[in-house]
This record gives sequence, C-alpha cells and structure tokens, in this order.
Amino acid sequence: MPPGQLLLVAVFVIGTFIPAVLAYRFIAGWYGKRFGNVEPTSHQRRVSSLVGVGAALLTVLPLSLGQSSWEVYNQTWLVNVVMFTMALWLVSFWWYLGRSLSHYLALAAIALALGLASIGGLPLDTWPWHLREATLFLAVAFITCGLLDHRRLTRSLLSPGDPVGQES
Amino acid sequence: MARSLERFDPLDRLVHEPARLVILTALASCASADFVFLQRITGLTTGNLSGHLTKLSEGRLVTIEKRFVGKKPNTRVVLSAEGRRAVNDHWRRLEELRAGARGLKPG
Repeated sequence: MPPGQLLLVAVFVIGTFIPAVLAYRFIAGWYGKRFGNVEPTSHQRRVSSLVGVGAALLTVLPLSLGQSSWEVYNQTWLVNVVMFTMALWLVSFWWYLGRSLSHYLALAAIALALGLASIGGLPLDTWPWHLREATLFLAVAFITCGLLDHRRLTRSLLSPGDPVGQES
Repeated sequence: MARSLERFDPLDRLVHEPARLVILTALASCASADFVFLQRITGLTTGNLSGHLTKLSEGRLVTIEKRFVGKKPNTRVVLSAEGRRAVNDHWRRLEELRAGARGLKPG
C-alpha cells in the first residue's frame, strides 16, 4: 500500500475511533446518571471481554484471511463468511445475555438468511454484495437492537417516589 | 400440611422482606451497585431505601461505602460474604418450600 494511502487509512481509522470512544463515554455516563451504575464481577468482566474480542475477530479474521481473493470473488463470499460468523456470535451473545433478548436471535436469523440467499443464488447473488452493504446492515441492525435494549431497560426499571439524581 | 411445613425453619425476616430481597438478589449478581440503581430496581423513595440499606448493613449483610464520583456524592453497596450466604440460603429454602408444597394433597 503506498504511504499516502496508508496515511489516509490511518487518519480514517483514528477519525472514526475517537468519536466512537467519546460517544461511548457520553452514553455510558448518561445511563449511569439516569439509571445508576453496576460494577460487574471479575468473571463477568472476563466473559464480556471475550465476547467483544470474539466479535472483532469473527468480523476481521475472515476478511483478512481472504483478502487476496477480494477482487476475484468481488468480496461476496468473504462477506458471506462474515455474515455467518456474526450470526454465530449473535446466537452466543443471546445465550450469554440469558436467552431473553430475542431480538438478537432475530438479527442472527436475518444475517444467516442473507448469507444463505446469496450462496443459494437468490437475487442477492447478482447484486454486488460488498463489505459496505454488510457493514451497513450490521450498523442498522445493532442500532435497532440497542434501541430495543433501551426500551426493555426503561420498562423494567421503576421510577422512585423521590426525584432521582440527588445522588450520582 | 402443617406437618410437612413444620420441617422448614422460619424464614429470616431481614432477608425475606420484599424490597430487601430484591436488593440482596440484585447485589448477588454483581460486584457492587450504587444507590441510584437500587432505587431504580426497587422503586423505593430515597428515605425508604436508606432505611432498608441501614438495616442490611446493621445485619452485616451489605457494606455501604460513601464516596465522591467527580464532585457528586455516590453511595456504593456491596454484598458481604455473610449476605451472599444468607440470600443463597433464603432462595434455596424458598425453593424447598415450593417443592414441598407441590407434593401436598388436600384433606
């Protein structure tokens, strides 16, 4: 990769990473202030780290391993592998969360169906199925799941008689 | 029926009270929780929750730590080893009670 392009990639990665970290801190702070804070046990910390690393690896590894065949296969099969691995991860995540948040299961089913449809020669096969479409699908799906998680959280927690927020 | 239930020791009132049972059960599934979170899961007023936490603390079931997060006061509650044992025992006894009652026949 030429140095100019490498620099552009680095700027892009840093430029997206910093707002993501800031957004995460802001959202976590907002939830903490409004709904309180819970400190996980060391076991829960280990498992959640494993879940996060697993998600990253299942997305990045298939793409990295098959990078040489990107142009030949027009990314299609690599994206299919990512959809399968992400579906697998989502099922694991649903299981880890206690098998109650069924929208993660629905999301896994959609990812699996899209991958299968593409492999099976359904219309998606003729459509240029690139990484950007998969990323867009995953982004929309995860935002939807996040909103559903928020709805679940706000419905399950109670409003105390006294105004909340006197203590952080 | 009375004979079947006789073998169960009386339940610990300190743990069995609904709000305190919710607090202890929630604390058993995490390392610690703050006052706001406990207020959100119990729906108790500030005064009521403080009262329950004081009773649990006096019974050595939880430890309460007052601190500052930034410039704001924050109350952190941790379940003690004794508290973990008490809540686990309590749920086990409730399960036993339910299992025992399931086998009872009227008459």
